[in-house]
Amino acid sequence: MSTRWTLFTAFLLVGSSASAGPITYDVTVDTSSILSTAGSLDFNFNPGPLVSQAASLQILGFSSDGTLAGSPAFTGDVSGALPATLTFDNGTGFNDYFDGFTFGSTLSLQVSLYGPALSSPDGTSTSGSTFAFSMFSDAAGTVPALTSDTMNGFAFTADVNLDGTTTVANFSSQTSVAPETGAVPEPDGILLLGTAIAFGTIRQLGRRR
Amino acid sequence: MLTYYDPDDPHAGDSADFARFSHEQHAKDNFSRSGYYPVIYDLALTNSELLISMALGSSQGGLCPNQPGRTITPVSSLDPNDKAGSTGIGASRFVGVGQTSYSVYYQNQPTATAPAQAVTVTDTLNTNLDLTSLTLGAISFPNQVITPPSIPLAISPFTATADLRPTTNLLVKINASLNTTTGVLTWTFQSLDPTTNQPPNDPLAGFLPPGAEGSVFFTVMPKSSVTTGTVIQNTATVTFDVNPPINTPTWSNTIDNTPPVSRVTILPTQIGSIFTVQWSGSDVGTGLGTFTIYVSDNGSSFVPWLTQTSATSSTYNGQVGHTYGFYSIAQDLVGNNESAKTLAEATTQVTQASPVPSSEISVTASGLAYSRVSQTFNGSVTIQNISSATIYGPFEIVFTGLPAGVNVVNSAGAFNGSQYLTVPSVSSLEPGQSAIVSVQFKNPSNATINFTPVIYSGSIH
Repeated sequence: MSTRWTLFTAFLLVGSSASAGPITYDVTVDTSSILSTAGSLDFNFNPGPLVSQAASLQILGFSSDGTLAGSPAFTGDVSGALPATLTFDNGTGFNDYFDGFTFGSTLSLQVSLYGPALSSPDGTSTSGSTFAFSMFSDAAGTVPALTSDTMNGFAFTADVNLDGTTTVANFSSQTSVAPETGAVPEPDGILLLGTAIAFGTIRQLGRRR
Repeated sequence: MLTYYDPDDPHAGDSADFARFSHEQHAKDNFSRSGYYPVIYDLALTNSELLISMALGSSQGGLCPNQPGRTITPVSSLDPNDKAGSTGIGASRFVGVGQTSYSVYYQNQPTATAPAQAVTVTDTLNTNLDLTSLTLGAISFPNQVITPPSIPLAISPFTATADLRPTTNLLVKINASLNTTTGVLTWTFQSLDPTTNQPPNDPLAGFLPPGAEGSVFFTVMPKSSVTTGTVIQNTATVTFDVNPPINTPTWSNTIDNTPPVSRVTILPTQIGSIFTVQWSGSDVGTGLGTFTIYVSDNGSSFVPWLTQTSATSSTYNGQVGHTYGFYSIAQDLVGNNESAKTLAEATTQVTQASPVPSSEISVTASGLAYSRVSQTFNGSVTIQNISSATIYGPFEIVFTGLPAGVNVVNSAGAFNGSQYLTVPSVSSLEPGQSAIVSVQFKNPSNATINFTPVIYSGSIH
């Protein structure tokens, strides 16, 4: 019985930390092919059409040798302004940040997803939330750039799934989207697994005594 | 008899002169001859020394004893030839056991110095061919096309005479026959002097001038017992005048005598009114060519739905309450047909759509990403069978309660006043199985998009 308890504890720790939970993606875009283009950037983070659990998103560490126009358009529950941190909440149906941008040769930022939908999925919600990042080669945001998604113009999207996991779809060969190393859960999971096994073993030994 | 042509002779071309030469030479000739034929000689006498130059390898030597010291230019026809047959399918030239065609082409080479007077074409037929099925096709040579009757040559030989006058003062007697014992098919073409009805004495009189072509054509069927993979080769031999026979190239075909097999893929027992029927097949030999798909509506006789299609699926428009049965008949690339069938290989019934209780099927959705390009909100809807039994489709997601102004861009239509989407390519959901469909919303006022999904199974068309 106590062995079963030990294994169950270990499974829970690995399962809960390996695939779900807050996560940060490092995003790097090679924009050299559209260097000096007076274009624009768009970020939006929206709930689904059914019942979505609360989730938030931040754009952090925006860095580029390009130039922001500095007159962003906000829609919905968005706060902050690039290059400083942007914060989106999915409390309203459409949350969007759009700004003009003259592209340099590179652009990097971090996308951090967090909130109850990631850290404690309720199991009753029926919609996830989705973040989309797009680049345009025009200031009006109508001509997509650096993407194969000519239909919608997304460079990449990140879905917050109902189980707290996230799924990235990258349509841009110039864009790298990688989970931030420090946020990769596997090492922590292994550590926790070891801890759990040790804890279980100690508990077993204690009972035998 | 040997004839000579002397271009320096003022009587050159005079048939009487040639006849004379021939006659005078006849007794002295050292060579074996069996008839009139133009042959090339280049010969000259220098003092008492006789120099003979053989202009062509096919020529036979001789001299003109009555014209010492003069150069005589002998003449001859020449025979390049070719053989063609059914092109068949692929590099192996696959053919079925239907009619196979062959042609033999012969030409008097443009550099030849005389027309051909007599041409013989022989073709020893492969033992895998059914000689009783052989019929002649067109026989042609310059300005003449003779079409033999379409009756098997084994029944009676073919004979005809072509009159080349006034263009050429000749008749051509044509004989074609088939020796059913040896399998040798023979055509002979003999130029005739219309006056004498005999071969012309003039060596420059012949039905096939230098550079001219002729051809013969025939069709024959392989024996029905020939197995797939059997190679049937055919070579003809063409003989001009008394020149040595020359073989044509060999034409090969490979037999495909194996019919293909096919079947319609099993359909779900219940289905929507517009559904996809799929089929597949295989073939030994050339490969699959086409399918004919038969359908039976409510047990009626099978009738062709799609005829000789190369597709392997198609959409069928059925009616609610009807039961449909399908089977396929394949045909391979050489025309072999699959055996006839009488029973359906796939059967289905078109059912009326009905809502699936939420206790049996769950609906979830992704977030909605906004596109400035398409000005749409984009996401997906997932349905999952949460019951313990199979639920049969097709499945439609009805978007009830959408806010005013919000439209489903990729809607399949409206049902009871609400837009709906059909879940593509899902005919049923096993317990626990899910299906996903993309959805795009137009939302000009950027209102919060929400709706109450109702899932229907069956056809709502």
